[in-house]
Amino acid sequence: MMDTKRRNFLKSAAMAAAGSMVAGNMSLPVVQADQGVSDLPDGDGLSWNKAPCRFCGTGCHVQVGVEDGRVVAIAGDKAADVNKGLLCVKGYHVGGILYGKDRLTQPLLRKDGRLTEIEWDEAIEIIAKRIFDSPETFAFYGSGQWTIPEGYAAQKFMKGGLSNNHIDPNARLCMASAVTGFLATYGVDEPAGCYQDLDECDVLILWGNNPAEMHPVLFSRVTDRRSRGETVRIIDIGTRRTRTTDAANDYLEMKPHGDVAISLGIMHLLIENDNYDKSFVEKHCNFRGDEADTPTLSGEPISEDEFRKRIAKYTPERVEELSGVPADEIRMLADLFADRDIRITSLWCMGMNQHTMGTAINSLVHGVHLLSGHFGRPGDAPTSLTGQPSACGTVREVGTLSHALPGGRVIANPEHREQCEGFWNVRDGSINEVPGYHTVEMFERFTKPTAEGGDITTMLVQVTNPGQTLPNLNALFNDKKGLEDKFLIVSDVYPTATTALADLILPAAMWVEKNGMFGNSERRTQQWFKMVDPPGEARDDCWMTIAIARKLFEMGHEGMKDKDGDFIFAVKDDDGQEIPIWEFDRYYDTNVDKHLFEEYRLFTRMKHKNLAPYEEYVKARGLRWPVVEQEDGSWRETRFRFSGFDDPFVEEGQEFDFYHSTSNDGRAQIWFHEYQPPPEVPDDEYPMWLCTGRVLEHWHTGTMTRRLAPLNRAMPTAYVEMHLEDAKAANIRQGEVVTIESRRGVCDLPVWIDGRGRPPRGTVFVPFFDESKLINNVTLEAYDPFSKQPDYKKCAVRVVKKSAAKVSS
Amino acid sequence: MPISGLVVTFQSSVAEHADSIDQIADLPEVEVGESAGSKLAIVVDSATKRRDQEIWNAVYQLPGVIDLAVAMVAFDEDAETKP
Ligand code: SF4
Repeated sequence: MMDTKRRNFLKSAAMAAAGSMVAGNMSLPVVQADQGVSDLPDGDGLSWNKAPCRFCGTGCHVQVGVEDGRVVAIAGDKAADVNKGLLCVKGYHVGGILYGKDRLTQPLLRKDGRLTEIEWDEAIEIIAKRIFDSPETFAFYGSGQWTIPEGYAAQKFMKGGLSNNHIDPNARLCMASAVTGFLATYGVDEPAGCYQDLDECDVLILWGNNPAEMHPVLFSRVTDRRSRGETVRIIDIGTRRTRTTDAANDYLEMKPHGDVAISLGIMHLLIENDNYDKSFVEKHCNFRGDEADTPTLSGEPISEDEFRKRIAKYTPERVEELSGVPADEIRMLADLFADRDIRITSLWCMGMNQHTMGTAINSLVHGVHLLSGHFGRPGDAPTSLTGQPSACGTVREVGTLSHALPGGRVIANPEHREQCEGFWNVRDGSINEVPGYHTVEMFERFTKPTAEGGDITTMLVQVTNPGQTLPNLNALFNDKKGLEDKFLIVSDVYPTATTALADLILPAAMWVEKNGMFGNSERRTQQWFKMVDPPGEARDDCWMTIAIARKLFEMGHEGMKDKDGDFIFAVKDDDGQEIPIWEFDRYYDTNVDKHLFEEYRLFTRMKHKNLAPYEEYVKARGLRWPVVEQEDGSWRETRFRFSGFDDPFVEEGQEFDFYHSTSNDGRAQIWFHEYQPPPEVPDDEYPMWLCTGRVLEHWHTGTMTRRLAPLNRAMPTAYVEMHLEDAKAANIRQGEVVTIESRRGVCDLPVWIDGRGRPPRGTVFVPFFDESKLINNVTLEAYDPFSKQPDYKKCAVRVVKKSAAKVSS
Repeated sequence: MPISGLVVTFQSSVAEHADSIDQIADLPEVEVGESAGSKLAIVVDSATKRRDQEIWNAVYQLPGVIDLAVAMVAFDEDAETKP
């Protein structure tokens, strides 16, 4: 309990922090370490240090107040350009996530069905032995919450050390289609613009996106502008009303997959009305379509005439039929895009990514912006957001995907493999030329008996919860037989739906209990230092990977040696002596993150994703790549890629250069994709659409936020949102528990009629944060053919009163 | 027993939302601070996390409030919960 003097001290500090935000002290420069703490109290043993928020991909910076080895205060970081001193309700509680009552603190091995505490040495030995005995049947599943060094170490261990490409992240489930959309359009991943677009746009179009709840601090950048008297028109295109709709000027309710038709309809009208940006298209774009036989991500060039021919049928009336959005609204959107005097930003996240046409719809929205010339000026941008704090930094940039290598390189390209082997100093041919299994396939093979082709036998999962997030969980995990030889290792901070399935559980350190680096949605690389110790025997995920690699090295695994015979993760001191970083009590004798990052940095120059030296990130609240050294030795970040006024890789005098163009001519690709209906649509048996997603209070599977009492109390359980008329027709009352049934499984949930989100008739919505109500027993595993990302946003279900349901979940 | 410095954003100038500001000021745990444009600084000093969240919800739902953001929060050493 705090004494009165201390309370008064903290109250005046809290007032000073809030007051300075109000007084307009909102536009501080980025790289001043002291400004972030200038108003914060520092007496009584309280010290502050910077870190990015642990939750969403917005990447707000916080100041973490530590006293007596414990996090006791959190403040928005005023020196951070992303959030300018403010945090949302999840950021408010981010300090509490370390202190849930049931932290995992000791490795646990399942023996005869019971979990038994073991020592780390034994745990590492067990894992190393399984890998040593069968390296090719091992898989590593990670996440967009891996720090950059953690992901890089895992990547090098698998692809360089084990010659095994079966490494994939949970980000496959959340942003893989954004990646393939960027690659297909620009030849290189990640948004060209940045959050400044939100400060400068006249129109913000949200494509199936609910930033008011999922990226609140970003959304408040826009709503703040309005409250300052600026005009920003917000257009919400979605399948249900949300808090974002409440702030929108226009709400366009579409049918599932309607976004594909809408984007085609806008392009049709721009062509038909001859008001597309001819000069931009002529100078900077090509047209592209799918190959007739086997479509690939490269597609094939088509002429502008052919594009016109193909798009001709997407008239506003036809689009109305396909999307449910009135033809006049399609015309309204096309008129906005035809107006070059305004600036338009498109934002999207899971709505367009968790989509069986995910690559197509991503490419089409880029195409709308390119065709209309709404590209490359501040405020004119097609931009995808990420849900996880380092989906960009760790997954997309480090390339922890089964087909990728660090820095935008790919397994399939022999030259890329050779370069990578060179950087890693591993023997020639170390990197297997065959891409590994993507997430859905990896888990299918792990949960299938070995004799039936289930050729993944040991899996290590770090920093994620696939037992709750994979689609069609029933098919993967329930009532499985013949899996006695399979072994699941899970590293996490709390018990989860996945640790419940594990044979071996590893207790992990989290957030400021370790050093780390993240990369947020706007290409911003961020760094923080360890501030407090993890509880009990919890340890860093990066250390776990290095300790397993070292054990394999000692067992004689050749892949764990580089060309000189040294350990692949060797770190030497100034005298050339190796520091035993595989022993946890020596791990922090050096900054392992810094060593790994400086090695990884070499890759980033290969595809113009240049990063600065580690020490620059220590000083900054993140820097947006490419970061390029200036003549005076300073490092300059890039806000707008491909635009001559800002991107250092565009030759002077050029307005734009898409320098990774897939057509090798500096041009971006405007794609045509034919509309396709969703893979499963409601019918007589399963007459309703099911959409799944998140809620403001909980982050992803709720493993952290459900341990925060205020958030758990505010949103204690998952529910099914239903339209009043649908509920009436089925004689269902508010709060009544019903069964949601699909062809794959069932889930029991209380009904929330016309609640926070308001689905239209014929649609229900269920959030996925609650491990006691696994909606992914119901969802469909169909995925996009290019990105392999599953569609969690639409499948056919029925809602059954409990008394009438066949089975209970 | 959290202490938090919050920033309330109204949909227009603070001066146009006197009723909502009165309601905020009436909450015994809340101290109203500076305001400028559409923003108002407040400090919440509540006995429990539950009460803190109730105040958060009450302020968020007042007419004209479009955003509630955190500038700083200090908390004591209570462990968090488990679901
Ligand atoms: S918007 Fe995201 S990153 Fe920012 S404080 Fe909230 S949860 Fe954290």
